[in-house]
Amino acid sequence: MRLLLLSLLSVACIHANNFYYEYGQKVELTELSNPRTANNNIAYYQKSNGKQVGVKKNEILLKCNEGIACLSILDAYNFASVKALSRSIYLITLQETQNIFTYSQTLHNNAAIEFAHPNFVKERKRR
Amino acid sequence: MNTKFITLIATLMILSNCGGGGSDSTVTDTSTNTQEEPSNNDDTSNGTTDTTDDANETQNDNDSPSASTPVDAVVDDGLLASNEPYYKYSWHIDSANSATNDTEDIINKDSDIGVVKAWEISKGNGIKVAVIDDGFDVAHEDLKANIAVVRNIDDDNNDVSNTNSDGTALHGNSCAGFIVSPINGKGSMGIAPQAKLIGIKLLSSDDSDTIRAFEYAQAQGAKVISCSWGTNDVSEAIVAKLKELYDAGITVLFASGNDGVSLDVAGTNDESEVEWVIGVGASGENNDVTSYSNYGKNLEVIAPGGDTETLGILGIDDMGSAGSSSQLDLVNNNYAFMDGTSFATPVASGVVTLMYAINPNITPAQVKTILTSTATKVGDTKASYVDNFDEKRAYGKINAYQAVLEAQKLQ
Repeated sequence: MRLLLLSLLSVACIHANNFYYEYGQKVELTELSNPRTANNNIAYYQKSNGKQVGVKKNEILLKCNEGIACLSILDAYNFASVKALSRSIYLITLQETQNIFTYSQTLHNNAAIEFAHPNFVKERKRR
Repeated sequence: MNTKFITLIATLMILSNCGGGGSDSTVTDTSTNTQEEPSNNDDTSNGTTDTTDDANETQNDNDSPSASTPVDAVVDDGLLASNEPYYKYSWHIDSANSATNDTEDIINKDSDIGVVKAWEISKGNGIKVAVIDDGFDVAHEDLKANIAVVRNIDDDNNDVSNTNSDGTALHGNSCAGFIVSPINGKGSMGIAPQAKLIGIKLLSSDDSDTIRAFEYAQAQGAKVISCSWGTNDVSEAIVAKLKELYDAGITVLFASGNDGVSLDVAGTNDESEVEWVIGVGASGENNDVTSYSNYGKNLEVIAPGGDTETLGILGIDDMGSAGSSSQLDLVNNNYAFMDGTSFATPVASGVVTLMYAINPNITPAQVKTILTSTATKVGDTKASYVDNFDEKRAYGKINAYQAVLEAQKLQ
């Protein structure tokens, strides 16, 4: 099972693009050439709707479907760490060799997972 | 104490527009309360979508409280709300008695939300309300007595102060004050002056840290969470956390923003529009929606946030002891006049806090139904309510008295 998963991920890596799924929709990203910060852990992108967003390069937020033993599902992916942020939301830290978009897409396509997207960095404006 | 005597004193104070003194409040030690790990309890889900017929009865009378306010409604620990030196500027609480020579003409006598009358039923006792923002002054004279706990999510400690190149900037301070400032004879008062604050400092823009902040509020027992910020681009993980809070019986409120634009446009997906929260726009001292208030079909109510062009809403200062440029030569350095949906939101949060205090078992769904069904239809001929909803004013201006009354009926 694990060997099959790794094989599929290897193929997916070759074809990985800068996109993820959110609210069931594919969201394509264009990397910004002049990022706003020099933080090496964050890459900045522009969405197709024009909004800019930061992406933590090695972190994914994820929720499994109700009734699923999420940790068991995630164990197969050999992530660097999996931490529960809340009752149902997990923060995944990738290995250095694991691509953020490849794994966001792969996890999204897992039927046991409700959503998986990068850990975003978004400007929060006071109002 | 003799009620008639108190009534006489209160009347004299109001008529003479003079503030009285009051005793100092006890300082709550906030240095030892910490929460290191998020809770992962599965037993917090008590939310339902049930509502009652009572809650759906529309009550649009503003019930301006001032003229016939029973005096025990404004007494807190032996002090009168009207003892607060700046009660006279607090039009959002008591517009009928709010005026100075300078402001008399610009304060609509119906611009309050019936708070004083609501205090006959509830003043927020026993309820913890969380404010997630950029920092807090835990020593502020009009905040310290009602702080339950504070937490810095970014640094994982209890230092919630905040400084930047412009000096001290504590947006969270003002927001918190509109909810929990006690009636202590110092300056102003919150909508829920007996509630306790969970002050959460969050500067990080990471979604994971935002979730941690919500988780901390939940773990500390918050029934209400007030958020005077937004991204216009809310992530699915944040929405999932907001749903968890909703299911756990916690009501979250978000400010709609100050650009005067519709949120119902492609590409905008704001926190204030999320199904599991109360979205709040701003009304002014003219008793109508302000020109800066963002609007949209997914918002619920407007609440006093102050009018940019006139006076603003009086609250505790966000610039520290140096004072701000918004004192208008009317208030001291600890206070300021402000405007924004940032401040409308804690006002609305204060009302929800009053509702929880009188009925701790009320659900977020019931809170939403009550707020929208009891809101006052403001705007006169400029408004166009269809099915009780106006594009700019949502379901209308929040009505504290009617909302608390309906919450009480659900007990």
